[in-house]
Amino acid sequence: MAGILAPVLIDGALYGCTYVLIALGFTLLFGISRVLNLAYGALYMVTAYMIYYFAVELGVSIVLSVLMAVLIAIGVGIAVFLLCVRFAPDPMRFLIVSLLVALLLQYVFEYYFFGETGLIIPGLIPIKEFLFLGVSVSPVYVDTAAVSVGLLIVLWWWIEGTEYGRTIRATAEDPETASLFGIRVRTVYLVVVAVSSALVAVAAALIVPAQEVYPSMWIEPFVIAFVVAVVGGLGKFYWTIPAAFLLSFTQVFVEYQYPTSVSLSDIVAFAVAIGFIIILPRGIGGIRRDAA
Amino acid sequence: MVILIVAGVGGYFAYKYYTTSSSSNTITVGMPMPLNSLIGQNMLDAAQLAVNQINAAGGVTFNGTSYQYKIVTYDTQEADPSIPIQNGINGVTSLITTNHVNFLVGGYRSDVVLAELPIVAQYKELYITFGADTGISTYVQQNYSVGGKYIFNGFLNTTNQGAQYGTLPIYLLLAYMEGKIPTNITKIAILGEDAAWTKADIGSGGLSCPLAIAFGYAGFQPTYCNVFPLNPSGGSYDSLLSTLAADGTQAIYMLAAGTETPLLISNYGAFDWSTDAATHGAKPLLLGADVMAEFNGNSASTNYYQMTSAGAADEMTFGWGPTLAQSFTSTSLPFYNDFVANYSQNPIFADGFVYSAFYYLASAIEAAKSINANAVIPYLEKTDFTGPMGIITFSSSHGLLVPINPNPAIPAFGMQWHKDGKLYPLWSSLWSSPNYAAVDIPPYGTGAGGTVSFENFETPSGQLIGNFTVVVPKGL
Repeated sequence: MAGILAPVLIDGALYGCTYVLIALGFTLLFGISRVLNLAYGALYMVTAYMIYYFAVELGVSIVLSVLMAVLIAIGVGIAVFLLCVRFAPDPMRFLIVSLLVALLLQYVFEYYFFGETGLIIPGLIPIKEFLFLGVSVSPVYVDTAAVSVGLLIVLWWWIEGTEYGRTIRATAEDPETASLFGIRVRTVYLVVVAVSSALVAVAAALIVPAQEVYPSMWIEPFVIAFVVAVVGGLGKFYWTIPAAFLLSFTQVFVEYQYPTSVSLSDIVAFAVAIGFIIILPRGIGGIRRDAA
Repeated sequence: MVILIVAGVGGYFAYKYYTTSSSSNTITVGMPMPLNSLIGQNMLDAAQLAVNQINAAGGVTFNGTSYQYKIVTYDTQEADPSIPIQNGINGVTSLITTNHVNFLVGGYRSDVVLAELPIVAQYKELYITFGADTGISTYVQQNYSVGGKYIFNGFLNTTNQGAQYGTLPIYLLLAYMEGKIPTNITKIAILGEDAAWTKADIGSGGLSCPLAIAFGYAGFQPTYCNVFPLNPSGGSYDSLLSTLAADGTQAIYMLAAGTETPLLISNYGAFDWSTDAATHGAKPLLLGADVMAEFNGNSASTNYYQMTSAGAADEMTFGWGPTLAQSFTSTSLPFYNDFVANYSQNPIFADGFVYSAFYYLASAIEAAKSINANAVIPYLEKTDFTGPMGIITFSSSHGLLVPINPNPAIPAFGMQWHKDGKLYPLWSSLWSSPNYAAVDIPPYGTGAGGTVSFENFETPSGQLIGNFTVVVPKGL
């Protein structure tokens, strides 16, 4: 047990920051628009495949590839949202249609890329690891953690400290009243969708070069985002942070304890989520309200 | 009424177009292959090369008529070990019942191939397959008269492979003990993909796995033996690599024939091995059967070194030639050169076997003067064909006979990626003197002794040792 303490603490902290970045957009979108977008993880996949297409197949520079991939992911995110809003305006139908869209995108990429698995994409960050307190640490996760913290600070400032942030909060609080005050609610939603899509796309561009690209890769970030959102409390933006770390430490512990296990850490993730739904249905962020 | 007639006529022609297997001058060969992967695409290229050559030379001729080969494919996706075996069953069923092919040549993953055999036997469709499980020959033997006879295993099974693969690590340990290389590989970890063909070596894992026991007899100190996950939790193999480093692993022996290794090798190359006290911080020597490591193309998507972000540096992989421009038989180099000229890509381990299958099938058809499987089988059983990778002959249970004395009929071939990003020939089981049986597989201890030569050896820390010769003591 002592032998895995250092890697669990270090990797758990780094993965926690990564999970925050992945889950931020999902929670932000739900917090503002009250819709669960199950196609969220698919944008992670879209970004990864687009980077592969531009950088590996077309030989475009990695910086340009990442930029184009992120823009495409934002476009897809907005398109999916508009599609769901237009044809599935109620939350339940939105949920179903967004899931179907995610599956459709999976099969589209599987078709176009012949279902190949194990594709590796180049990244902006070198992957050569270094030793920190006796643990081999990847600069990918260190830099992702730094970007995650930075974006969290920027988002906090944007939402709490700017005029438009006030507009967003008003819309989240009561969209009908906000509309009466002249706020273009639909525009606010689109801006939030774009930001949410950009966050998950940036996460993919940073992380996937240390992993691999395959058709069903959207499931893992979706699971992370969903579980973190549930554990933190759906819509409770800032409680994403402790929820992400709770999940990351639990999963990393399982990974180091059982290094050749298949899907055990995902099983743990779902078990944590189910446990919270049963015991604390409003998540960590709703503890005070539940206690009252 | 007119519409019905038109629909009927159109449907008839569509049916004929899509299901015609053998027009009067065509022999249709169905190929169930993992075409969604580089591995399957490469195997199809080898098949197409053979077909083009045979057809250009007049095709398959008997009874005064020339027949042209035609390939019909079905993508089984089986190079990914997580793909269900049902894909293979669907593949052979579709090729037989919808495309009405005359013969089947293909198959890759052993558990998929095994699942296909009852279907093939039921339909009495002649099938030359390339799985590695000894279960294929067992099936033929046990079911010969009820359909098993239609199945031929055109690739070495795990027993045949192990007779040559298993000796390479032992030669390298001897090389260290004789001071020929500075790399101590005594503490060895064994990793295998979770697939049917590795079961004989990995079993249920742990240090009592069959390969660990065999390595123990040979003087190794196994530290780990298990399958590795296809999609690691958290998307990284660092937790597994940390375990290996903590165990003081000096060498990793890997068995992987699927498409999952680029991530593992990428992580292996990126990992900081400073905590591995036994290697003094260097990465362990990586050797074994890694099919993806044979890809030496010109682009990032076909070159393993680039796929793994240079993680493959100093990785050794062994297979069956000619993956590089090496001569094993008189047809090795012509095949290699033709393949590269046609496809701008080197052939991989299975390609020589696939290529050869079309040739010896053609010979059997011509000798039988028929495309009827029952007529062809006796001639196929008498196959004695020299392909680019070695000599093809079949046993009574339709597996390959691979005698290794005095020299292997199908020689194993080892390669190593160097830090310059190039793939070099390292070893061949033909490079033994006075003959191959320089060392027996432990614990028999009846090896005849001799010498084994290596070329282009580079240590995991990038030191180029080059060529050396290992003296194998008699009685090992």
